[in-house]
Amino acid sequence: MNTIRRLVMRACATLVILSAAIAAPQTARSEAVVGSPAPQFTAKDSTGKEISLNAYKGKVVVLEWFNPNCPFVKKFYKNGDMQKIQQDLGAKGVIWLTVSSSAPGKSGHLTTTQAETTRADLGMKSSALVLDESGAIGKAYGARTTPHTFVIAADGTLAYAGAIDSESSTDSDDIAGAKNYVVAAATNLLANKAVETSSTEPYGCSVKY
Amino acid sequence: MAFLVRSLIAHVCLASILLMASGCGEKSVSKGPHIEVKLIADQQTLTPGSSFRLGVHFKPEPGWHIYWRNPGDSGLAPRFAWESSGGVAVDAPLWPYPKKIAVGPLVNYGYDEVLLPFPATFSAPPPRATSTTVTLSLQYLVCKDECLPGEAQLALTLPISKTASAPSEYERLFALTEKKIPTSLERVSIAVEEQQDHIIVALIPLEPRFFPSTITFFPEDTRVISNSAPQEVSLDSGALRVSLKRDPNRRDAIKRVRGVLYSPQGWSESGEPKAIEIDTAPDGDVDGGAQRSSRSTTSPPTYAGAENVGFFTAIFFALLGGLILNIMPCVFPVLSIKILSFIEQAGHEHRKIKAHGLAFAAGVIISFWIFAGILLVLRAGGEQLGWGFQLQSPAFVATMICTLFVLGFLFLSDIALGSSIQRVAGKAKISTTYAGSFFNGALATAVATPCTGPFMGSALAATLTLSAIENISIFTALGVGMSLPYVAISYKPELLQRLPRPGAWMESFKQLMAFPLFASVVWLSRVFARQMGLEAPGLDLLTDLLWGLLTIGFAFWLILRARSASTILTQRALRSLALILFVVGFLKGLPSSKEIEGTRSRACLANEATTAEPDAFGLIWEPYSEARLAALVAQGRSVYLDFTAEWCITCQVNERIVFSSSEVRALIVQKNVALMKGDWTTKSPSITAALRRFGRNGVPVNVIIKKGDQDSAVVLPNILTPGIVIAELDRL
Repeated sequence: MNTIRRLVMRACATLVILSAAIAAPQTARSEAVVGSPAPQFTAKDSTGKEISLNAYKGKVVVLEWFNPNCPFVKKFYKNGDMQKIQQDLGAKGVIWLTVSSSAPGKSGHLTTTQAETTRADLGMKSSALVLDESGAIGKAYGARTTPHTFVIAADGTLAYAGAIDSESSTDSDDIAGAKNYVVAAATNLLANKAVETSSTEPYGCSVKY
Repeated sequence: MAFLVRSLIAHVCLASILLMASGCGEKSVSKGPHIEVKLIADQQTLTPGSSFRLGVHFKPEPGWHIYWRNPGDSGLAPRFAWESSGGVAVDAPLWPYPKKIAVGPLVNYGYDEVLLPFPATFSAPPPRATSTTVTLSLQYLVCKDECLPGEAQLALTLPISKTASAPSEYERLFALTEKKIPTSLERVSIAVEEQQDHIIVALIPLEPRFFPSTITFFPEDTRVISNSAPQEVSLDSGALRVSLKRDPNRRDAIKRVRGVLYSPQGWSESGEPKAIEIDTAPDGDVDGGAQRSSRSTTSPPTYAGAENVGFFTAIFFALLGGLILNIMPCVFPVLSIKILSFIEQAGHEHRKIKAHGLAFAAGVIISFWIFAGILLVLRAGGEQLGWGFQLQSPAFVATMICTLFVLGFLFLSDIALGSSIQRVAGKAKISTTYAGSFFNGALATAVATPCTGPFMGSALAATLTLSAIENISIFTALGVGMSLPYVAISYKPELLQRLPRPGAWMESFKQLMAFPLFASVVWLSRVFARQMGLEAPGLDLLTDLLWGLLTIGFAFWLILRARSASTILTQRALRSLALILFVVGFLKGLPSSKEIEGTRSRACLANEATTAEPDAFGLIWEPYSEARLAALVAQGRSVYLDFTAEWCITCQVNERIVFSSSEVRALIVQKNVALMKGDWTTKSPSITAALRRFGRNGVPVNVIIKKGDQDSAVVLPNILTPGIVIAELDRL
C-alpha cells in the first residue's frame, strides 16, 4: 500500500507542477489597486539610507517615478515646477519619495553617486530619491511611465494612482493651465476629505525595467 | 566703404530673394532628430469641389518608432493642427493598424514607418487663386530607448486646375496604406460583455465564415483594458471570443468599447483585410432582442450554452474510446497475458488482485494525464501561433487526410503495429509488485498509441479548442475507459472466463477499423474541397463519387475476407452483401447525365459572369472573352492575359511565384493594368482560338498587351519570375 501511496503522491506532485507551469503564463503581474493597501517596500535611497514605507505610517506619502532623460520629466524639473510642489507639500507634512526604477544599463539608471549629483543639480526637494534598480517597487505598483504618481493615505491605503496632471505633453507652458492631480489628492487627504479624482491614465516615457 | 555697404546690401537682397524663392518657412518636409516627416497629397493638382487625401508620412530611423492614436502604457500620440489658405477642409486621420511594441513588461502601440492619410475636401477657392496652401502644425514623440519630442511646421502648396487632376507620385503609397486601414466586417454581429475582471468581445457570424486564430485587440481608448495582459482567443459554436483583462484601476462601468481587431492571417480567406474596427456598447445588443446587464458575472451568453452539451458527449465518447482501445490488436494480446499473470501471482488474495488492478488503472490514467499535460504546454506556447483552429486551415485538413489515409492502409495491411514495443512488453519481467502493475498500465498506454489513430485524432481535435480543465477531464475519461475492463476483472476474476480468446476475428476487426478511417478521409476531403472554393452542386457530386468509391472498396474487402470465413454460410452471406454494396457504390458514385449538364452549365455561367472577388493575392481577375478584351483595348488600358488550367502545374507555380511579389502587385495597381484569366481546365473553343492567335497550342501562356495597342502583345516565356513580369510592366 505504501508503494502505491508514494507513487500516487509523486504523480500528483508532477501534475501540480505541470498545471502550475500551464497556469503561470495566464497570471498577469500584480498591480496596486486604488482603495487597497499600498504595497510595502524597503529600499536604499541616494544617500545609502534604508527607506521603508512602513516607517511613514500616519503620514500622507507621494511616490513619483523619475527618469532624468525623459522629456516629460524634464518638463517639470526644468523651470522648478516639480521642486516647488515637492517643497510646498513637504512643508505640510507630506512625505515625497522620488523613485528611479531604471534597470542597470538602461536609460536613466542612477548609482548612488549619480543620484546624489542629480538631486543636487536639479534642486530636488523630495524627502528622498529611492533607487529601485531591480524594478521590484515599480512592478509592485504597476508603474508604467515617468512620471507615474501615487498618493498613499495616512492609513496606508492607495488613494490616487495615475498622471501627475491633466495635460499630457512635453511643453512646460502647459503646467500652469493643467490640473495637478497629486496636489489635489494630497490636499484632500490632509483635509480628511475623500479624494476627488482617484485614478487617471498616466502619461510619460516608459519605465525602463 | 560705400562699395562694401552696397555689396553687402546686394548680398542680403539676393539672399532674401533666394530664401523667399525656396519657400523658406514653407516646406513640406521636416527632418527632426531620428525622424523625417513629410506632408504629401494623393493628387498633383486640386479641382474645386473634389475630395482628395492629404497624408503625413513619418519615417523614423530604424529602431525608432512613433505612436498610434492610443500610445499604450506610455508615450504620446501625434497631434495635428491644420490651417488652409482657402477652401480646404481636413478631416480626422484614418489610422492604419499599429503594431505592439513591448518595452519590458509594458506595451505600447505604434508604428515604424507610416503614412497617416487625412480625407480632405476642396470647396470653392478664392476667385483668382491659382494655387492653395495647406499648413500643418505637428507635435509628435519619437522613441527608441529614449524619447524625443518633436515639432514641425509643414506646408504644402497645390496648384488648382479646372480639369480632373492626375494622381501624385505617392499614389502607390496611399493605395498600400488604404489596405491597412481597419474596415468593418460584413454579416457579423459584434457583442461586448463586461465581467468582473474581463471584457469579452464576441463576433457572431450570421453565416458560416472564416475566422483567423491569431488575433490582437488594439483599444482605441485608454484605461479600458490592461495593455500588457495576454488576450485569450477562443472559438465556440462558430462564434469568436476575445477575452481582454480589464484595467484594474477603472472601476466604473465601461460605456463603450472601441478598437481594432488585427490578425496577420487576415479576416477572410484572401488574407485581407488584416484589421477590422469595432465600436460597441456593452449594454447595447447588435442582433436586437435580449438585454444584457452591464456587470454580468453570471452565465455566459446563450450561444455558448450548446457547448456544455457537447462537452458531456465528448466525455462519453472518450470513455467509449478508452474501452475500445482494449480491443485494438496492438493492446489486447499483450495485456491479457499480463492480467492473467498478476492474477496467478497474487494467488487467490482478492484484496491484492484488486490493488493490482487499481495500480494498473493509475498507471494508465496518469500516462494519459502526462500526454494531456504535454499537449497543454505545447498549446500554451503554440497559442501564439494559433493552434486552436487548425481544422479551419486547408493545409491542416490536407495533412489530416493524408495521415488518416496512411493509417487506414496500415490497418488493412499485415504490418504489425508497434511490434517491437509489443515484443519488449512481452519479454519484460512479469512483476509482482504494485509498482510493476503501475508500470504495466503506463506501458499499456504507450503500446496503445500507434493504434489510437482515429480516437486520439478526434480527441485531439476536440480538445484543441477546450480549456485546460476540460482537456484533462477528457483524457481522464479516456484513461478510465481504457483501464475499466482490467479493474473490473481484478474485482471479479470470474469475468476472465467470459473474455473472448484471441483469434482471426481480431485481424478482421483491425482491418474493419480501417474503413471508419477512410470514411473520415472522404468527409475531410469534402471539407477541403469546400475550403478551396468548390460549391454545391459540384461539391455534392464529388462527395457522392468519393462515397461510392469507398463503398466499392469495402465491398471488395468483404469478398477478400469472406475467403477466410469459418462457415460456408458466413462466406455466402458476406459475398452477397459485397455484391449489393458494389451496385450501391456504383449507383451512388456515378452522377446522372442530367446532373452533369446542370452542374456544367452553372459553372460555365459562373465563368462568364464578371467575378468581382479578389483572389488569394488581392487581385481581381476577369474571365477571358474576346469581346471584353477588345473593349478594354479600346478604352486604352494595358491588359495582362493569363491562360491557365487546374491540371497544369507549371501554370499554378507561375501564378504563385509572380503574384506573391508585392512589387508586381503594386505595379499592376500603379499602371492600371486589367487582369484577364483564360481557364482551360475544361474544353473551351474560344480559349483554344486565343492560344492559337498567340502562336501557342498549350498552357501556360502569359501575354501583356500595352496600352490600347492590340498588336503590341508581348508573349512572356513559359517559366516566369517576378523579375520578368516587372521588367515588362515597367515598360508600359
